[in-house]
Amino acid sequence: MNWSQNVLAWLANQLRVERPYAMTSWLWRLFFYPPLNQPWHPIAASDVPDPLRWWAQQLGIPPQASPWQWLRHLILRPRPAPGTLSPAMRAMAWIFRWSGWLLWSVLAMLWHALAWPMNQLLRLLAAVGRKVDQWQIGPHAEHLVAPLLRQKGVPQVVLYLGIAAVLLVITTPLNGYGQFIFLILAWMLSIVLRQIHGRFAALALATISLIAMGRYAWWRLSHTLHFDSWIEAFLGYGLLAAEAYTWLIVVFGFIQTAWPLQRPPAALAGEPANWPSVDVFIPTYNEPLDVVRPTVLAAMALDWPTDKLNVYILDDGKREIMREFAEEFGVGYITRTDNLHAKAGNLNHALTMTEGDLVAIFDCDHIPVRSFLRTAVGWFQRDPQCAMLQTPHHFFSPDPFERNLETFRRVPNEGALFYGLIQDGNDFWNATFFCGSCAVLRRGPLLEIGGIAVETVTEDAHTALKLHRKGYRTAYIRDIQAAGLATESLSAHIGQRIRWARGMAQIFRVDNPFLGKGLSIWQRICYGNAMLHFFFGLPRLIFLTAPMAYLFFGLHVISTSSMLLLLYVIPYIVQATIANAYVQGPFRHTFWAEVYETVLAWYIALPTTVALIAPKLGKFNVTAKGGLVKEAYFDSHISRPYVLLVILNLGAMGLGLWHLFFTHQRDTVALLLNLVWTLYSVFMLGAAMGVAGETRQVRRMHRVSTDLPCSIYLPTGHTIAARCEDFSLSGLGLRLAPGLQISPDIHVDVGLWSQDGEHTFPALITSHSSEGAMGVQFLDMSQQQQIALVQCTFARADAWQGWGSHYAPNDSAHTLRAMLEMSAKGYRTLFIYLEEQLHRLWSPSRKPASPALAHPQSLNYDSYRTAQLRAP
Amino acid sequence: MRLMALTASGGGVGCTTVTAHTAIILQAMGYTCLALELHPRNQLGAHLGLPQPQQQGWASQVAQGRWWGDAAVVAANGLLCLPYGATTLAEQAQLEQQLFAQPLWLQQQIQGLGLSSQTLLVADVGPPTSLLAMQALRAAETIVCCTTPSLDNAQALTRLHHGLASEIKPELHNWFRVLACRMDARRPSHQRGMSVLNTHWKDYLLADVVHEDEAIAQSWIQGSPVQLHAPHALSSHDLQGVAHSLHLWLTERSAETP
Repeated sequence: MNWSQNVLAWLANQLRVERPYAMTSWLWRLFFYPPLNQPWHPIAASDVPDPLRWWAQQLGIPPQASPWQWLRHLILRPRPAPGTLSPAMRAMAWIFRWSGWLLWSVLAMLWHALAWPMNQLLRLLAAVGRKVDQWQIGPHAEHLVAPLLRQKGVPQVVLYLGIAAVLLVITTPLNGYGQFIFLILAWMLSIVLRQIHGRFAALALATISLIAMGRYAWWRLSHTLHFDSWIEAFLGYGLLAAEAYTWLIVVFGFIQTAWPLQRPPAALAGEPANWPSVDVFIPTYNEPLDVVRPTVLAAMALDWPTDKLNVYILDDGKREIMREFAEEFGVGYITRTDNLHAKAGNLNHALTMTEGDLVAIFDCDHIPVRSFLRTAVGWFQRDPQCAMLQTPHHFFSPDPFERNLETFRRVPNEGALFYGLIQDGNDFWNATFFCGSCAVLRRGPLLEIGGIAVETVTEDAHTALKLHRKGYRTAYIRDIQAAGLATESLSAHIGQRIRWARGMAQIFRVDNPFLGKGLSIWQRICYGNAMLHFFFGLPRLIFLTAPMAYLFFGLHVISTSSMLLLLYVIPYIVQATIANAYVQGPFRHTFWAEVYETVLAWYIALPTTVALIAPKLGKFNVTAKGGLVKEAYFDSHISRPYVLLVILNLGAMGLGLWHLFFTHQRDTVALLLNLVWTLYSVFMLGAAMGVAGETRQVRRMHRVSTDLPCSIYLPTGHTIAARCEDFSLSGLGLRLAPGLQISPDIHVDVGLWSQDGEHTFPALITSHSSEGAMGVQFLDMSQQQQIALVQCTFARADAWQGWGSHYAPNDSAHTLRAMLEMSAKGYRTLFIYLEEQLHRLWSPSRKPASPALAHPQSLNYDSYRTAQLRAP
Repeated sequence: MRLMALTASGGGVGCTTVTAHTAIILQAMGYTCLALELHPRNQLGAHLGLPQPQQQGWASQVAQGRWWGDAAVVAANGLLCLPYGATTLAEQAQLEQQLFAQPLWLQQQIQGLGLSSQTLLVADVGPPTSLLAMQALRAAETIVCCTTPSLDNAQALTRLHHGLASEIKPELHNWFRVLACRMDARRPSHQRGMSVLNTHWKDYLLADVVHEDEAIAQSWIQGSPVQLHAPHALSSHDLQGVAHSLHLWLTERSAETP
């Protein structure tokens, strides 16, 4: 008997609970008090259950445990095995969920009520925009202006007049009210404009955004740089430099994507006998044969005259198995004695040993589709100065962002913006970059510049730069003609980006596009932007930490009134968001750039800086592909810097809140501004940590979802029609008509169609669900069958068409909510990880006890279910 | 009344099966069809649910000097069927003599049926090796030639088309189609045959093929069309596709020649 039992007995006597061991009796007495005249036999402390014992049981400790043990177990609970939550915990979780939902609904309602006038205005303006769009104003304008712009000198005059007008608007001084009216007018205009289709609307939106940014920049430079101390000046100029960097990138980006060319494939001219001969190079270093094989098979079956197509495996790994494979399938195999200059050196060596007119290059994991050469080569015939043609890099497996944030095929990935918009924009200025794979080069010009560039680790972009300096043209066709595996883990992904960033910084140092001969100003800008873009690391880190100067130390890094700052910065941010959503929306959803950059910022900051100072440092690292994340884990190593930043930001936020509520030393608006900024950083860092929580990969061979007709040949002579729902090179997922059953473990032949007819592949049925889904595993195949399989799956000309049609539309509000969820998930991953670490720290030997042992007398899931079944 | 004759580049290529299923499916699609058997093998009725072997047929009627239309029966969903019926060799010889004496005999008989102009006659002609087949092909408005994707049949197809084009249908336009039947994609010879058909008969080849399928043999035993017996069999899908393609072709033709 202890004090807790006494308390409970007292309570039971007060409430007149007849059966203290039954929960229902307590509940009953909470609502219904017994008649006063009814006699009452007081309950002794020994008659009530022991709450302490119950708690101890729940926590899995003896009741006599020390207070220290109690505390530890109260904070660190062993996670129960799934399905073993006790009803009490279940009820608690339910209450939590409901109260959370209630809170959310109330807040949402409040928000809707407050935002109602704004929403009405938005709706009205959008309706106006749609009305204007119905008049076909965009296409008409393009139609009218196009002949005018073709006149000599007119584009220049328009450009200069435009620049002069924009500069005039940017530098016009306005007081607070004036700037406020500018904000409203610009916003209203852009809401109308974004409903209008056509390139002029895009240009107009981008121009408004540039003006809003320009006004902010001008004001920032002329009004906000009066600092009280040298430390403020240092931090203030640092922030200004970071901002100036983003302004520069925005202006360059505006030019780069002003007029995406959207070049169509050119038809092939003449008889096939007169078409150029093509050497296909597939460089490899340490990738397994399983990764290389499909690429080689697809390359062999490219739709091109056989006597004009030669496939070569360029094996820097000098592996016997690769040589045997090449021999077996009759493709060329080239090795060299050294491995100088990695991939670039490998390609250059192969150039000396072959003599085709054109060279097609595929990374060993990029499987070309059958129509690749027919799509790409036409431009080489039409334009004799065309030296390189690039097609998009497409990935059929999710990259770490897509896998860990679960956005595969829903949200455009990191590369979508580059291959969807930027390369098309570059193409207009004749500045398409070579991206190392899925491209065709003309041998002559390539040899003229000394082969693939070897000075930097991004040999591809540098090669294109050299070609442009010689006056050659390059082209881009936005038509997915090859597909490959994405990097499998975040660390590998970051490693690849570091290489790109380092290489770009190296080119910026050793062959700066702004200097030297042979380039037009626009090409310089396109190249410059591509390289400068990779310097985002340091500025991004500055933005993530800038508000701390004020929150921690009260330093004013922007010396102005907060209201004025808001009046200038809001139009800048709002207009940039609207313009970006309009121009880049289909290729990058709003806010996603922030996530991508936040994750990479820390890791890119140092290599780019080092490469800028000492371009010779650093070597080529091969991107690991085709691997498997076997178990879910949190990449704590990668996420360490984010955790540090989160802690700093949270500290700053706490201090800021303390100042806000308890001291009145600081300006409230400035505090709020900095707090919102910090909150935004915390939220972005959460999403970044979400990426570091690696989820488990189930299959070694990634399966591509599809919907193809297929046939199944049974040993009995029956033939069944089915659909193929996913494919890989090891097996298929099939769907039979409902009601059909094929027993597992029997051998069948599966028929699939390629362009030249039906092909069958021997397979073993491995699984069959009652809903008709069936898994088959391929058995040994002949050479012909291996080639045909690639043709029927990865190398289908239509295999990757309409890939982007699954993307959700770019809805800023929706994206914001999704980001919030991802951020919450990121923090959850972090907490779970920290909790595990703490557990390990406290009791390194302790294994989580099985739930039945931990709660010997508590209800487990089975009894709960039985109780449910018995309930009326 | 239009006559679509289904002929074959060789024996056992599946011409009768295709005829029966085409007639059933087109009838279900809203056509008024008459399945006409012009082949002494006497098997057309099997997939249509007629008793096997079919005793009554037009051939013995004709041999006995009676009106051939009296042998017509109605199969499922109102499809008219004129089976050949069981015959003796003597009866067949007598019929041959009659056909030799009257080169337009079949044409007259068909006109004598008094069918409406909308009726589609789907005739199982078989390989063009008899006078009856010749008269049928002469009377036909459209001809579909069934073949297996083997090289021997592909060769026979060339001779057949050449003969038809030069002697029988020089003036008609767009009257010929080739259908690959009993295809087994696992067989290398069929793979080769298909590529030959795709190369040389590209303009005539129907997009659909009919796969070799045990389900067809089993549905024959059951006396039902394969789409009822085994709806998810590949051959069932194939035959539906064939009927649909033929429907599109016939519609396109009638639009061309009003």
